[in-house]
Amino acid sequence: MADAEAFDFVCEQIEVRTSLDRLAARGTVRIALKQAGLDSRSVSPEQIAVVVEKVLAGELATRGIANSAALCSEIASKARKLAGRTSGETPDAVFRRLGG
Amino acid sequence: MLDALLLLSTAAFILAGTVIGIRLLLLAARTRELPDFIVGFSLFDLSAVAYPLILYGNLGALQLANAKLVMTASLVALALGWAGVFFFTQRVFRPGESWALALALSGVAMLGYGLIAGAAYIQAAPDRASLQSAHSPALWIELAAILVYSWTAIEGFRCWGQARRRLALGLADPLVVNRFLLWGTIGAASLLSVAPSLLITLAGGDGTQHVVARLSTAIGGFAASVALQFAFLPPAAYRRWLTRSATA
Repeated sequence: MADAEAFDFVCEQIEVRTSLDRLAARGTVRIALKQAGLDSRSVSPEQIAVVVEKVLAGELATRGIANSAALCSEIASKARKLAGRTSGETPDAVFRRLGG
Repeated sequence: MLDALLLLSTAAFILAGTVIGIRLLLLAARTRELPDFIVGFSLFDLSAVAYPLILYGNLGALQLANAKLVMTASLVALALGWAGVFFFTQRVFRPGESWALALALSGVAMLGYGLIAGAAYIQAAPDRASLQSAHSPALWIELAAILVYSWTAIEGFRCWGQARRRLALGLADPLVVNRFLLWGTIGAASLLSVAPSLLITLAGGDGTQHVVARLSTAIGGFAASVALQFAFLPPAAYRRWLTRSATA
């Protein structure tokens, strides 16, 4: 399964706007997603926006990226404007529905 | 005492599984979603068809020919129900992952072999005692059940761990987070209810009569019934408590 569009978008933003290269940018975003209990293949724009603001900012700061909070706030607001396409139905969606 | 406990546990599972299975099938009729149908069908099939047939087949008053027929029918119901659990787990928790599809297909192959060879073995059995022999290929069906319940427990607890982290960020519903925990518990409890009996049988003992096997079947059955109830038909007070705990 391919990574979600929202994940690719955030990685590209980090790569372009920080000193991190492509591999480091994607790895850092994956770490943030893992800490948040999310998967790069199924994360939605709204979910990744929250992770960017609440988790990724701290991860970037520990990697020496200046103004990471402001940068992440900007990327999060752009991520929220993405279409909500994710790849397939998540276990969350199924188990929410099964609860009635 | 143990007989009564076992009967009560089985009755609780049959009742909870039947009610919730019907509820999930009705949900599937509305949503037209395959996972909803698969889990509803499996639950209903295992609790309302397979287990009552096993109980009926074990009645001493049944003639050998009738016992063979009932036991064969119970094998069909068990194999269908557990095949559904394999496909539900693969489709919901590991869609698009080839190893999961291979595992589900392997499980279904075990069920298929157990069903076909087990039915032939039952038909050839000379007496009642031979029907549940440790040499019966029908035990492959129970081996597949151990596999699928282990997988169910692992995926349920794994998703619960992830969902708790999402909950801390406000990205998950506390009821859904708890439902993952209960789903893992259902898998673990069901494993407890079938594994000791099978292991004792494979070791040459009588898995249907051994006190450890009977006790674990009773405890596992009760735990699975309670977890099913709280996962899919939670009392209002329990829902309120979960929501309050999450926001506190």
